Amino acid sequence: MSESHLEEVPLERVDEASPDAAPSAEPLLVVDNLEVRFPTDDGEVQAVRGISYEVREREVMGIVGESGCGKSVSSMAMLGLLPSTAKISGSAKFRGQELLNAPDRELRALRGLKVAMIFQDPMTSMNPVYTVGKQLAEAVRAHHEVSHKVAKNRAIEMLELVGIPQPKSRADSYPHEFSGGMRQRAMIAMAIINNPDLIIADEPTTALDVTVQAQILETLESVKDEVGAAIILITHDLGVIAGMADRVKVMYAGRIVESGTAEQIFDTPRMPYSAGLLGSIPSMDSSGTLLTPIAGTPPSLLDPPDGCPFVPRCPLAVPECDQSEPGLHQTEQPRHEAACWRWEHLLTVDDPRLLFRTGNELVDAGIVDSEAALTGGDQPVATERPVADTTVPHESTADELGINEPAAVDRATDTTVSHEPATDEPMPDETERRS
Amino acid sequence: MSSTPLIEVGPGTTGLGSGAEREFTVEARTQWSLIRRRFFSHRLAVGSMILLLAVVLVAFVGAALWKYEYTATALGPGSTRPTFDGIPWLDGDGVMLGEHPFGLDNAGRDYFATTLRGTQQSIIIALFAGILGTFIGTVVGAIAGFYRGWVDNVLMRIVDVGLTIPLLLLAAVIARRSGDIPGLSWFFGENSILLFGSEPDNVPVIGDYFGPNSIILLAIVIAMVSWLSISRVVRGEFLSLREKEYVEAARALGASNGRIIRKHILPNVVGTVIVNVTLLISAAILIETALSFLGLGVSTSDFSLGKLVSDNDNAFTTRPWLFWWPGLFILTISLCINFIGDGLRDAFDPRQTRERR
Amino acid sequence: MFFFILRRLLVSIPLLIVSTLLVFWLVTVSGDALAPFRNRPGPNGAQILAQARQRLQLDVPFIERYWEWLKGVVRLDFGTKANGQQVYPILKDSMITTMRLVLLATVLSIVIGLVIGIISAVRQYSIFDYGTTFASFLFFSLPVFWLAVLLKQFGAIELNNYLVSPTVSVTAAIVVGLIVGGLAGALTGGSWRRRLPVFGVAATAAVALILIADATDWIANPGISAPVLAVFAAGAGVLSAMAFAPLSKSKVLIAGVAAALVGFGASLLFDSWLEEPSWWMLLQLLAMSLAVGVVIGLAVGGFDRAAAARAGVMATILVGMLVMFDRFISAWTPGRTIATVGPQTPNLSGTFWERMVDYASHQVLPSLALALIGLATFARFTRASMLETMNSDYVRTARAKGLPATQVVLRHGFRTALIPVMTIITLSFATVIEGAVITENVFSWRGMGTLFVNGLREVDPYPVMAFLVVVSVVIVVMNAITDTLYAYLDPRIRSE
Repeated sequence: MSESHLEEVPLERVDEASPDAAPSAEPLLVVDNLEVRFPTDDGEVQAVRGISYEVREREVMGIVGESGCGKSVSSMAMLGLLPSTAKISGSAKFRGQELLNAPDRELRALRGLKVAMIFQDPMTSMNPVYTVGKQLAEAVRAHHEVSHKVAKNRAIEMLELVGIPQPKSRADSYPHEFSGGMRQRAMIAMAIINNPDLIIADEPTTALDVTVQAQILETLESVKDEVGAAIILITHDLGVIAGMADRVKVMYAGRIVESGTAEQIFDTPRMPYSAGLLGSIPSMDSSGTLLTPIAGTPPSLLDPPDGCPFVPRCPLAVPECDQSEPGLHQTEQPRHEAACWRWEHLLTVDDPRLLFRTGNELVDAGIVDSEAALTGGDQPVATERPVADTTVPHESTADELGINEPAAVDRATDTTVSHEPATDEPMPDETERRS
Repeated sequence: MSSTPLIEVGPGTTGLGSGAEREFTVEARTQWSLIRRRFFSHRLAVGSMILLLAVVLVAFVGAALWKYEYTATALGPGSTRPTFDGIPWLDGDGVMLGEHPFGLDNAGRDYFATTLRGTQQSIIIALFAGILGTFIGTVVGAIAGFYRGWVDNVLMRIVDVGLTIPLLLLAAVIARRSGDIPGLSWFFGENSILLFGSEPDNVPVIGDYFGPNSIILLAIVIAMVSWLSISRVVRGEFLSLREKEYVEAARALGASNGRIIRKHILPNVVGTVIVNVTLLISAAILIETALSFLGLGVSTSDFSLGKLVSDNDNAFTTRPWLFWWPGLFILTISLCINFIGDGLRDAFDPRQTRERR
Repeated sequence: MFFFILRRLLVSIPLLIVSTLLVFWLVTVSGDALAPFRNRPGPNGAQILAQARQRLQLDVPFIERYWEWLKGVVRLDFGTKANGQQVYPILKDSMITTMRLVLLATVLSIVIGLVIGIISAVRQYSIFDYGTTFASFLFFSLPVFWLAVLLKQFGAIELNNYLVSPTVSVTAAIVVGLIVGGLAGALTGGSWRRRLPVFGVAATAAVALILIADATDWIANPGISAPVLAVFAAGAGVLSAMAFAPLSKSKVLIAGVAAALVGFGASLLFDSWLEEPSWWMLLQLLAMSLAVGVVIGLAVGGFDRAAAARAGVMATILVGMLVMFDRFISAWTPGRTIATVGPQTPNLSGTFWERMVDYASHQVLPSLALALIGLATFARFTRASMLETMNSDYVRTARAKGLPATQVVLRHGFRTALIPVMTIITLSFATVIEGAVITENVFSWRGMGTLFVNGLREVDPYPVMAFLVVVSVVIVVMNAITDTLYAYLDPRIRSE
């Protein structure tokens, strides 16, 4: 390390506070009402409709949401990586420096040096005609006046740090000679090579298989501690968030619909969408049961609705929900906000994830006396269901269409399993809460 | 691009009993309407199409309506200047068509009628050559690419050899010896031997006696050379498409080869083929010009745009209009076809994102 | 490498044999070789015919003739023409002539096509893009022959009339100035506010230059004076530096400019030598300038040695080209014309430069005709390829790393976009050769195309075969070269 004449602080920088480098109170990135719109042939797509958040130093911020909710777009907007047709408004300040719509010159000084990005698909994210070492060294030399040799040594160091075996010879290999997991590690190496303060990881594990996923996340965690960087971890996979994130933002249809710590959101979601996401994860206790998706698809962002965009898919929706879009309401827990008009009702539901299972299933299972008990609305859940998307394998289509006769066959196969309550809350409590 | 129509559908409508019936959807569209839509938003292509149609109309309908026939000679003193006014180089008396808008050529023919005749012939040749060439090339390429193995090898070797044979040679052979080939001589009368240059005895050229047929033969010659490159392209497409997962899936479901080709591969190749047809047609016009220039094209008593241009190349300094008009027609037709081809290419490419600026 | 080419050539031999056989047969049946000898009046008529038949070996079956020819080719004996001339010597001369034409046209179309393609892709949907797209289509849709005749008329006859007494009217100067300014404005990207001053400056500068040129009678007696040359040299140095590193890397910039100025100084030093150089001397000078460029780059470059060396080399080459250009146009004596007939003026004596100018004036129009069409193809193709790479993930990564825009475009976008472009080089070359046949006719060059056409006309297979063999070999070699380049550029291919 002594040979590296990097003008930056050498790699082994450990925060004085503690070995695990806990997040500090310093806001690193402050995003305020970020909006991104794309003009297309069909009209203007509002990809991001006003999000605001803060990321502090050494904090891991998770952003969760379905495809198309705007999570990737919002991060790319901050580094100026969107096509020039994109219309960006609002503010995103990195250590006080405004990023949005800043001149390219200014952004270039930050990209790869202070703010680094890891992209989703490692197969295509590296240039196939240059060696991996060369591409990493390029990242160094873009920001430091050093010789090729020094840059290459640094590259080899980084490859070693992310756990790539035989880093010296690997640095002279081409990307197509790497496996997917190794390529992603190399991308992580590229991101940290200049000791950035903030790493934006856009679905870093989505394109990889599960075992490799775990390794990559581990690598990410360890480098974060080494480098002392904050991470914005964007994903649609809640499992990924659970392990790593300090704070979590749930995004839907271009807005943040819930914000809190990982524990708060996982244990006590206060927005039906989050509950639905949680409920759709397969887990050990639900083994043998059918998976519970959130039926329907996200709304078109060409013409967003006046009210809450989740209404068509929400089991708790009432007419008032449709009239205006809820802002982030402070819930009963500190620093936990939810964009739902009926968040308080969720307080009364022990297991909000149940909301998304068809009402009849739960009645049959004896979990609730009627669906209305669960949803607190004056209409049975069944008729509020949207038309099922054909891509979702769905046994209870009959229910969805408002036909109250349960399909005999489905019930027959279901009876054995639906007796198992999805939650271990005592049942009597439910009946007491009937409104 | 899968063979089943791609339906772009927005999210499901809300089933909310009370309250708003929110329209969340964007209309469903089939693949072909998407393509049509993309093509028509390509203004240059659409404009070219209109222009081309106008030219074709004028060439065929206009010629029939025009007061002079292209065969009529000695309509006036040879090589009169055009009477089409409004052009700087003449003393303009205002815009009018005049008696002979394109002037007269050496033999006193009305050049407008002559040019229109030339346009007709060139268009027929080009269309025929382009379509025939594409057809043969697609069939050969499809067979080679789909069945692979020795079939592919043999066919591709033939293509390789074919590519080395100069077009001019083929044209010369056909031009001179079409009369000797049994069967063809029944069509084309006695021995047709072409000697170009300044041979004193101008023996009749191909199909002197059977006007349309002669240009068909010329078109066949051009097609015989053009199909070679198309076959390579189509073969390449078939080679890659047959490895696609949906073909594998269809096979696993028991689909026959014919069905696979028809329903899964061909629809995806259609785009390339259509684009190539346009390329070939525009190339055919230019090839015909080149052939006519070297004397291997249309017969002496008939006209094509290429022949007009090549016959009058020396006239350029003194009687420029004889050279300009057919040349401009060639340029316009070829340009329009190329733009249309470009528009088609853009329309068929599913990755096209037309960002509005 | 050598074996690779060799193997390719060996594999092509059966192909060549089949095709040459086919062509030989086709030519023989394409007409009556004895036609000029038939029906000769007079007592000797029949005898002349019989003699001709024997001379042309038409009494021998064609397979035997073919076999004889094939044996001859191996010995480089390409047979005899109908009129008794040996084909081989004619082939040598015409080959050089045609190759001159074709190579220059191909190089021009590739280089200019690539540049235009890159700029169009980077400035997609701009005026420049639409303009060049339209122009590409235009040239693409022109018959070679029509273009050639037009060039002959306007590029030569009209231009020569003008050159007799070249004067520039003020209006003409303004028009040209506006065009230049427009071009400069179209090339700069960004808002109107950025472009307008560029347009203004460029237009005014152009008009001023033209008027000065007119006043000093420069067009009749062109040449670049030393101080102007120095300025241009410095500019070339800056340009070279820009190509390999962002301007902020001062060491590269210094290397480029230094190399350029050294080159300029050298040209002054070797002034007398350059009066009457030989090809060998020019080659040595080229090698020297390359070496100087590399040395300066390495010495001054610091950490950016590699880029500096490349900049140095490019700078010296550019300056060398400038110096040669100066010599060229200085040799342009008043009353010179752009020629339209033949590859050069026969029996011309004069200085080296005067002869060069002569070659150039004869070659410019036909090469231009051929180049314009190939250029359109390359520009379109490069543009399409660039657009694809610029939208790729790795270019996005490059931007996210903080690389300057030029590096992103050139090192990541262009380098990868170049790969598919390689595949059309041979095709374009083949098209140019076909076009050359026609162009040679229009400009009365006696090249291989004329050989071919005349052979066809006289039903004489030997010149036709010679043409075919040469073209086939050239194409096979070109294929091998492009395949090698392809493997060099794309490491994924190498792993197979």
